[in-house]
Amino acid sequence: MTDTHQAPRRPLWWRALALVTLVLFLVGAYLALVVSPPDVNQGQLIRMMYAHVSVAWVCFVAVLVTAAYGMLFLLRGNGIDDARAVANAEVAIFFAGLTLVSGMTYSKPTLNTYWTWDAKLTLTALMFALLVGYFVVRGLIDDPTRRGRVSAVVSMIVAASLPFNYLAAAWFRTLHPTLSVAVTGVHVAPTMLFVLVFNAGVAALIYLTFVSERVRIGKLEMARHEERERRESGPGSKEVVRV
Amino acid sequence: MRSASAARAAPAPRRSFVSDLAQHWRWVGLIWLEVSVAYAAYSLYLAARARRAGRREEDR
Repeated sequence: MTDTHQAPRRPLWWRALALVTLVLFLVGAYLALVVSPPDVNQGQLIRMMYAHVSVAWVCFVAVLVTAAYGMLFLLRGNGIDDARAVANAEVAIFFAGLTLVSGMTYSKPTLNTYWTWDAKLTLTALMFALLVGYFVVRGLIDDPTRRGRVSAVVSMIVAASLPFNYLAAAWFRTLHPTLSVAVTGVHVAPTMLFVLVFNAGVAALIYLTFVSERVRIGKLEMARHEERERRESGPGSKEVVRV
Repeated sequence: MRSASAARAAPAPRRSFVSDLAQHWRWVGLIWLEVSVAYAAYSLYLAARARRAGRREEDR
């Protein structure tokens, strides 16, 4: 049958957000590639840092928000909280993968290796593996309530690993540089700090754009699933299903 | 034999912004390309999934 019904249009605010985000991404890239001064140690390679660090920060935020919605689902049992948790988890796994890949790319010219099994990198790989596990668990359980509960627990385990990941560079001997921007102080030149914060803000906007669209998709899929269940359980359902 | 003063008198050539960046353009370009392509790919995935989710049951 021909596809006569298109997907519902995205809200105007979302399209405006996506456009603003795209423009700011280009501005952020310009700041990183042209405006930022070279680093005293890394030289021009510091321009890679803005791409990698901003993605990594947003990955941490996405994991925390996933766990927060997972906790809300455990408390309230509302399906929309589970849908929001899944949306955040999907974006979190995307940013976690991007953090690993961009980290390896950044590491090769600056530290002369793509990968090493030190504490920081291993914990990041573990976080990615746990996020994969989150979706594996969801695929194994049919009952929506049980699926939401079990995956909420997994999301909280992922979130519990974040403090160790964040502080691993300070606690252990690791090839990964120690924190230049931390609660204890900032050890970055003002121009570089501005470029870094700007790019982190852009990455956060990208995260918001992706998550809000993914939540909308989740709601559409939930509505479709409920519609199908209503048809299958209602009178004369077999005829409807056959159509 | 070169004298010590001659060695000191030969400073390292001053590198311009362009030549300095050109030396590392592969890596700097690669990471920004990775990030851009990843964002574009995920946007396309979301668009395709939204289309699929938005179709009504009888159209499938």
